[in-house]
Amino acid sequence: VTVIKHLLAYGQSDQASFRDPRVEPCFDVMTVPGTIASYFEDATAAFVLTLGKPYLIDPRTPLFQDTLASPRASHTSLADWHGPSVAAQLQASGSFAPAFYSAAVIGEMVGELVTRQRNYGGKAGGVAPKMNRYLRLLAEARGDEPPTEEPSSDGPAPDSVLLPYFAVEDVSGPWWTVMQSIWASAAQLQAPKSLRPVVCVGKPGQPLVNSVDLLDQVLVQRPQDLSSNLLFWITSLDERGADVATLARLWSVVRDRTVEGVSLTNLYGGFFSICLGLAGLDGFGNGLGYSESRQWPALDATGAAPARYYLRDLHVFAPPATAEQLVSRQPAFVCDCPVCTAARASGRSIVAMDYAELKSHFAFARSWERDVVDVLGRAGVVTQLRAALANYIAAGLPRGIRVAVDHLDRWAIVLDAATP
Amino acid sequence: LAEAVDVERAQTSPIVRSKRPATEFEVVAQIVKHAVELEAHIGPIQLVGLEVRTHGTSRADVLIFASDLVAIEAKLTDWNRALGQAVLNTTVVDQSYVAMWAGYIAPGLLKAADEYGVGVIAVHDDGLEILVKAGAGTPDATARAVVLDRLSRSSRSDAGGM
Repeated sequence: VTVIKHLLAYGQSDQASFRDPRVEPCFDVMTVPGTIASYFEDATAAFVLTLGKPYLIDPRTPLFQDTLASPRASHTSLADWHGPSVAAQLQASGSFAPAFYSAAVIGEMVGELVTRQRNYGGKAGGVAPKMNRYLRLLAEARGDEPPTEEPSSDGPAPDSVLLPYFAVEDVSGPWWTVMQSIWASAAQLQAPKSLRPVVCVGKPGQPLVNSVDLLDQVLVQRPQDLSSNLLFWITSLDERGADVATLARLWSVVRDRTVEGVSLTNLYGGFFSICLGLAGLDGFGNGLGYSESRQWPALDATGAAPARYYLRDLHVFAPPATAEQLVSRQPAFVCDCPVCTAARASGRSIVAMDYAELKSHFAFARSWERDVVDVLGRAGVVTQLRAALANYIAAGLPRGIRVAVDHLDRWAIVLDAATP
Repeated sequence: LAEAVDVERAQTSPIVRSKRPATEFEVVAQIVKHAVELEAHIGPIQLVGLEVRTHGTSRADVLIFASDLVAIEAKLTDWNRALGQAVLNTTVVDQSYVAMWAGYIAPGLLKAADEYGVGVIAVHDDGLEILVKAGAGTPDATARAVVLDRLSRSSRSDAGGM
């Protein structure tokens, strides 16, 4: 059985977690934000190319859509990856109207981004000392002997190459025209079938179900001469907050387009996306403890995750003290992952878990969630969701302590009614 | 330093009133002023701090180290919220209390506090009264040590001569 692929986003503070040999099997592909890849260029390349996991680089092009008023240094470095015209425009005004993206600018941007990704493995030759250091740290974390051979000067290529993308508000708008130009430009490059389109849809203020409808419209008009393995991002789609109609519609879109031979990966998803694997979703992505959903425009305001504990049965984050109160009152919620088990064995509760432990626990919890869906199937997950809700209520937390669990019933309703 | 200054300010605040104060700080000030009255229940007070971080981003209104580490959540209204915070504090302190102005304490609070092992302090014009004694908590030892360290760094060790 092939379970849904988990794309785990890399953050600068995540290196120890990614090296942890217990965490390594919990994800399939490491997603490297373009901002990090371009700004911490040598260090990121050395880390990524020594880890030994498939990786891909997210171009995060919507940073250069409309206005980027106060660019950070990492935005400037990412602009360089988008070609000289984008870099110059950021310096000049930070204003990126659709008209800025002429055919020439798009050709330059697509060519630059694709080349940088395709050649990423070649960075190994220029960062050998850093790679040696990371290889030593990796061996240490895995309990192996220190490496004796010099790292190869030609590192692994990305798992796949992502095309630049912009947020599309409707298929009659100017950004949709820009997207079509991007795909047309990419089709002229060598081996276009290896280039993966990224679809970003949504309009601030409009019902989410409309955004899912828009996703479907865009997928219907997907490029035929590029990879059929697409990634999508529905801006503002928070699976836990989404209503039944939106989630049910998303299920049907994934199911119907997958049947047509399209392979889909949700860039920002959580447990419901894992369930969408039963409808055919190929993969989903998130960070260690955050980024299950994302708004646009707000891509420039991201940062490290807060210290939170993931209650895996409830598929929700909670402050550690809240989680501890809940788990201490409801044995059904006790987590048996290696991190939690070790903490308990040393007499420490959830409130004493450090940031790295909370992140590693989340990685294990996400892996457990994939197993739950894989083993239990749709009907079993419905039962699990309803049992978790009942267990939460039975825990009897005081009214002043709340964990948002309304999504459990909504998800159960959607899954219960879904047609595989 | 700011927290230590706040303790001093609270201890010297000449609050005499017969009806509920307008601000939570005045309740806190009254607790600090009469904290010595709690010693019969919690032992000799060694450290007192205000707004000391306990867990996550949460802070205890009053944190006392006596023979036990004691957190007090002061509230004018919304006892459910106060009780919730006090229950969460039990993960890191030995005794956890809700403090509200006498005469404004709902019977539901007393019942719920007893159920969750949290104490209730009635704050009067002229002193404090423990209505429900806090249960003996079982805080996480590591987290408790961190909180106690924060208290040590943020408060005066002489507790203002209490």
